Amino acid sequence: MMNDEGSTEGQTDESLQMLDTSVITAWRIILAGLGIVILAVLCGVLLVLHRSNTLSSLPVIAGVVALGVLVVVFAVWFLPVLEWRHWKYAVRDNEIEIRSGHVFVVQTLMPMARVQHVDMRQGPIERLFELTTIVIHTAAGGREIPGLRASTAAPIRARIAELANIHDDL
Amino acid sequence: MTEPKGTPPRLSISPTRPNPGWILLAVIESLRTFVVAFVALVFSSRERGAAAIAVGALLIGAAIVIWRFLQWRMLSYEAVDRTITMRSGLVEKSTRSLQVERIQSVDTHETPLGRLLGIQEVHLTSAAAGPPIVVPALKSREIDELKIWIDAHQGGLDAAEAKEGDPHSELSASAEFPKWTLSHREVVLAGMTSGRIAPAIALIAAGWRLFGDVVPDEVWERLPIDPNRLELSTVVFVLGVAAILAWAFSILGAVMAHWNFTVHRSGDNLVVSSGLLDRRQHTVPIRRIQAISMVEGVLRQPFGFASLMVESAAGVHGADQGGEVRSMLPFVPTRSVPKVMDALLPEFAWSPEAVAWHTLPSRAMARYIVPSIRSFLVTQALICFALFVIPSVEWWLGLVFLPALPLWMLFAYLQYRDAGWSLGEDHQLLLRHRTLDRRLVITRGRSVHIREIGSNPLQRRASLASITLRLATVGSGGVITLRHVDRTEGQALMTSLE
Repeated sequence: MMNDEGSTEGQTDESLQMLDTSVITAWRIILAGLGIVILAVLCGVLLVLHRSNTLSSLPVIAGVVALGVLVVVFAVWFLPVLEWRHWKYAVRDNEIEIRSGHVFVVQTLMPMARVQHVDMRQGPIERLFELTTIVIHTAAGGREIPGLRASTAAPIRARIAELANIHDDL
Repeated sequence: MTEPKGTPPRLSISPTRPNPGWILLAVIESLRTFVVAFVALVFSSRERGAAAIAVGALLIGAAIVIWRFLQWRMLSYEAVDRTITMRSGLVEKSTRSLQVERIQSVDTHETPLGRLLGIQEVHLTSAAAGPPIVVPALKSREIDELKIWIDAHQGGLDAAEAKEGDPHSELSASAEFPKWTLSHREVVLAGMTSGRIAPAIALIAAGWRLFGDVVPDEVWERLPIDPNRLELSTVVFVLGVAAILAWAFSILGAVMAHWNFTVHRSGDNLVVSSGLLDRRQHTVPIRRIQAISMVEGVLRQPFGFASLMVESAAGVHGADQGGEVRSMLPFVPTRSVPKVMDALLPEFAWSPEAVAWHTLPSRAMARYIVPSIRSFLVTQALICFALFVIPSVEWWLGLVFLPALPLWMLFAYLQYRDAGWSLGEDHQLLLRHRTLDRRLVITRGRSVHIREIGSNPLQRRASLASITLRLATVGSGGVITLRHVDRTEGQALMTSLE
């Protein structure tokens, strides 16, 4: 049986691993890039409204921009930390468990017997921090474990591949 | 098509060219694309240059015949060393190979002209993404040979796989299974209650446009309808005629697709045949079936009818999003479904009396109904606002949809009432849910590839959660989400499915 926190009996939360802390900075960079794009679009819209005299008040424009910057800074600073705190994974002999989300908490379970293949992926920002993402594929779709040190990811990938081959049936 | 028994399987099929009838079919197909252009050219040229057009048409026709003949010369298929290979292409040569264990289904397709020539197409579907391998223009005898070769070479694989995991394979190998057919009356009823009028409406719209282009303006002007002064009765009349036409077309579509519908079991395969003009036969290996979906449409459920879909999977090492969905029985009385399943697919049969359903707790009901009211009222407000912005239209006209609110709430209630699951001791999993149609998905616990349980803060406060189960199939039974289940019961299901 599972307890109220969702962990299975005999498999306590101790088996759940956290992601590498450097993923927080990587996520911050990605989020900052997104935030800059959103702010640029916002400024563009405000400029058009100002030129067409729909919104002529400069203090209001400055206030909207300042609010936008504040929201982006808050999101860039806090969201990756929250996400990291709630992102956990466990690779067990019979299944892979992933937990994520701080508002909508999701627990994903993938039986090892259903794993078809496992990939490793590294984007440019991840490469900057020597991080790797493991992608686990089943016939019903895939799930990712991001933010792993290359030295951690390789043994996990090898272990999943080995365990998945043992239970090779559909 | 018959499946001869007792014929010893051939070890290999040496390179074989399809029947020469393929040339005729291919020439007709090519000419079909030219015929519209040719007719347009003849009408536009009147009498001038008619001889030149006729000579040109003859030359094009001759070139097509030669081209198709040369293409036919390059076509060949062979089955050697557990691999089927199809070669084609005159300028750009193509070779497609498929290992016999990757074959997911063997389908045949017979067109009316092909029927006259006694030839059919064979479609070999693999687990991988991409189009099936098509072996064209085969005689029935050649198709039987190919099927026997595939069965013989898959037999070893099936036996090995069955030994490992499928407790029912012995049953399918020894038992006799009856054939299930649809009467002509049932086919018409299937069309009447299919609710699939969208394609028919598209067809009517296209026909209307063509009609508008062809009929001269003088005829339109004589019609007693003034487009600038449309009365409500005229609009209702036109919409009514369009709806009746759409309904008639959907019945016609069902008759074309499901005429002479039969489903039977042949060894470890489910064989589905149907079609009035184009006859198709689908063969689905039982071991690939991930789930059976029983769909009770809104027009069928009140009269006690449903349809059955078979959802099969990708191969063990297939593409991530393989699988396919096929109609197993497009129209069947709901009360007969357990009997049908018992007769055709005992692996998925269940007894309704023995099912212990886990339904949603009463505290979940408001979470279905309140959001539905909210989304309806927001949409209503947006419609009214849009009409308010548009000049010369009264905003309150948008309230015409408001009487539909009780119906909307009723569907939300039915979504709550119908959601549930049952996990039997033999790990047979029944999942029931509803969007508009009510669906019952029958699968096995081992077919669930990914299972998820999630909750937001409000759900956690009420000890509720949403569960999502993903199967290796692309159909609507592939991803099943049950919202607002009891959290403890949901987590117990997660654990039980290990």
